[in-house]
Amino acid sequence: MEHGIYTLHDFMKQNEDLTYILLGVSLVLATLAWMFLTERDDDE
Amino acid sequence: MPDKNSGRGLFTLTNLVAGIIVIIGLYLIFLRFKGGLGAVTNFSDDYPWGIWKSFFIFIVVPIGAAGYTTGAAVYLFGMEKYHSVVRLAVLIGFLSYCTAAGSLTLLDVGRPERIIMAYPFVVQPGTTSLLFEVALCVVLYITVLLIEFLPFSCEWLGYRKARNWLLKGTLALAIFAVVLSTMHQSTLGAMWTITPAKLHPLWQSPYLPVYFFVSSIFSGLSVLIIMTTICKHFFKHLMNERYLDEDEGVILAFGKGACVAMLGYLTIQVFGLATADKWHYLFSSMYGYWYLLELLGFVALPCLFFAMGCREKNTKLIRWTAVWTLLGIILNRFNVTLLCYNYHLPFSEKYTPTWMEVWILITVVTIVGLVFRFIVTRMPILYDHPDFKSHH
Amino acid sequence: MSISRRKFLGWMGAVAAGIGASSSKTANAGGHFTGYPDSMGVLHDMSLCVGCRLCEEACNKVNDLPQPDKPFTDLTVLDEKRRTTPTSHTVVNRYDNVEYNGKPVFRKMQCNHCLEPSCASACMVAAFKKSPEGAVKYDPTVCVGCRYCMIACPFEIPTYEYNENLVPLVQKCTMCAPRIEKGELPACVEVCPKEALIFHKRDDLIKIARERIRKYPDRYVDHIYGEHEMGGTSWLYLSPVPFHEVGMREDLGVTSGPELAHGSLGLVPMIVGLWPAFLLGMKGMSLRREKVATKEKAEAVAIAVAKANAEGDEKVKKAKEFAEKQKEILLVKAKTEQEKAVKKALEEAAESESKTETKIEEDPDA
Repeated sequence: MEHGIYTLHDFMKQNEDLTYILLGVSLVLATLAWMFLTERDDDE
Repeated sequence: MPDKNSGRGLFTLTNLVAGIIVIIGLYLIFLRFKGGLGAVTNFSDDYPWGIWKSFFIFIVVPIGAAGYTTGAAVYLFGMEKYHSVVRLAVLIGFLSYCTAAGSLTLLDVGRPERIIMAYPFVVQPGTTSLLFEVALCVVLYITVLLIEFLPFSCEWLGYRKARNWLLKGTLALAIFAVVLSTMHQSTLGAMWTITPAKLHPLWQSPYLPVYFFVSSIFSGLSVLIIMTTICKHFFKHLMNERYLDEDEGVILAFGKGACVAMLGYLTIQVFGLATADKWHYLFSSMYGYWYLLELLGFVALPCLFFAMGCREKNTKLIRWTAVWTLLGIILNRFNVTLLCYNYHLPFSEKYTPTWMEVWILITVVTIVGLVFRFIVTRMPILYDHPDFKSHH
Repeated sequence: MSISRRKFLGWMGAVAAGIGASSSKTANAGGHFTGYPDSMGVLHDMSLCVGCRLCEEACNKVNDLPQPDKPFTDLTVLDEKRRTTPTSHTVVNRYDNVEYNGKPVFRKMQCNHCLEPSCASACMVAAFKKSPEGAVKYDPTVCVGCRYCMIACPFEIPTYEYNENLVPLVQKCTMCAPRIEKGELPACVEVCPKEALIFHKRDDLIKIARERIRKYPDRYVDHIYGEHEMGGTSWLYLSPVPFHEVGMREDLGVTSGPELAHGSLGLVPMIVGLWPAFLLGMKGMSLRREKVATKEKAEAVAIAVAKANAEGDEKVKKAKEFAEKQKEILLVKAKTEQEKAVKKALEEAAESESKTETKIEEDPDA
């Protein structure tokens, strides 16, 4: 019983912790992706 | 250079009045810490949030929306020709968010030291909380605004290298600003969805986050129109030619933007009524008429006047309509957070603020006003610094 | 990048283990959570309550709360409608407008200890926690005093110490969690002389309540308040009169606070995931448009310049040619004229030696 998840709140708690980390990562990745995508645009 | 132009000595009438307000206000703040919140406020167990929360979070944050809306318009939506207002918008945003975070932390919250030290958030982040999301976004967004704001200070102080380095991230910052703003502006509305039975059904809606976000757009645009107008009135001598040239274009473009956002807002409000079948509330009680007044009188009408102003290139009409729109936002946020909250309680049990609450609120606004004047008269907000060529 | 392959694989392993672990310990079928099994609750049977306020007194004692102005034996307190306060975690109210057996109905009010607590969902430092035993516990060591829990609570239970200057706390019923852990009953349940409060496993309480309603259909409204309200509560209520007549809201719905917050929070990742893509797309388009515009402009300028240059070249060339021609003509002219003059001079000199006059015509001006 100690280790199980029986309420939506506990379920959310577990998932939201990870989600916030992922949100941060995704913003960084979006920045890097944009840089990668547009870096050579000026070369033509 | 220009700070001497406005300096008519320290003892002007404005400064005197402001000084009196602030001194009394500081004494009241001292009382708040001496005797607890109960000593100066009417906060109660039924109304744990009074006008401070309503004003400093729910109204000041949409006022600060001027920052991200302008940034998005100029940097992302191709309105580069109105670049002159970006600095003012960033300043408004920065001051608004500092006001929101600062006044809530230092005044409203029971244990300010715990927020300042951030200790509970590190040990036990309440990630399921909508308020946690708001707090996190506000902290991050203040950082973004600070980075956007620092170049002006650098120009003022002559730190060329730092300034140029800071300006490199402009695009990324504009995008972060929009993402973070969308998150917390909408979550401010979502915060009330958790308490479905305490807010009157006409204001309660699963769409609250969308309502709050969309209304923050026209709020921000209106605030920018109002602030440029105020600056043009008081600080015209500081504005450079470029600013004055672009002024009319900015007013027209932003008025048009606000009008479109308001149209969208009106539409989704009606959809909200329809999907939850709330029509019968409209004419069944005072709340119904109050809702109609808010929606028709403070959204639909200003929307129409914005449209007329844009069609007739009547900037004066747009400027006044912006004030009207902002009043509508203030009304809406007070409705959701106080007036229509606990609608089931009889009138005798409702909350009215004490004069001290109001006074402290005015004190904070006064201080922010003074800071705004200090910055505008010193830093290159309304003009380009002669030593630094505009980077666009 | 200096992340070793081994390190990376280690991370991936940890992530995989985390995912595996988290899915294995989630005891939800189809996304529906049924709460802790065998969690405890209290059933308040209002048809039995006589409004003696002994429960209030016991609560006061157990929680070391200050003595109220009027003693607990003073029943005139019941003349007014009260709510929970920082110093009274439970209150009994008398409802004179409804009668049961010729007597007014009493209702005890305290934290209902929701199965899915709104306060826990609202708290930004996770100070509230539903314990497996049933109590919603408050952790005063992290509370920052934002009071969002009080906004969120549908039963308006948490209270705040507004007159505490430095360390104000939220106060609410603890369901006597420390006593329960020691195997004791909650103080109010223990002291109740009428057994209007009974403490049991929640599942059993629902059966008991059903049984009572079935046995005495005239005595009860056919509803167990708290079975489903706001996702269900650990405190359950039976009433002889409609619940709204004793100040209990019947319009709360059955969706819990966390579920409502879950829906709204679910929007956030979509914003973070899609906004940058959309905005960068907008930016890309506006950059592209700008680029095309500058390019077109540059091209137009180049063409104009080239045209101007070409025109200019021609003019210059023409002028040059003209000048050259002119020069040639003049040179020829000059030459011939000079020759003529020389010739003439020679002739003249030869013809008239006696005449010593020399005559030179005007010089050609190049």
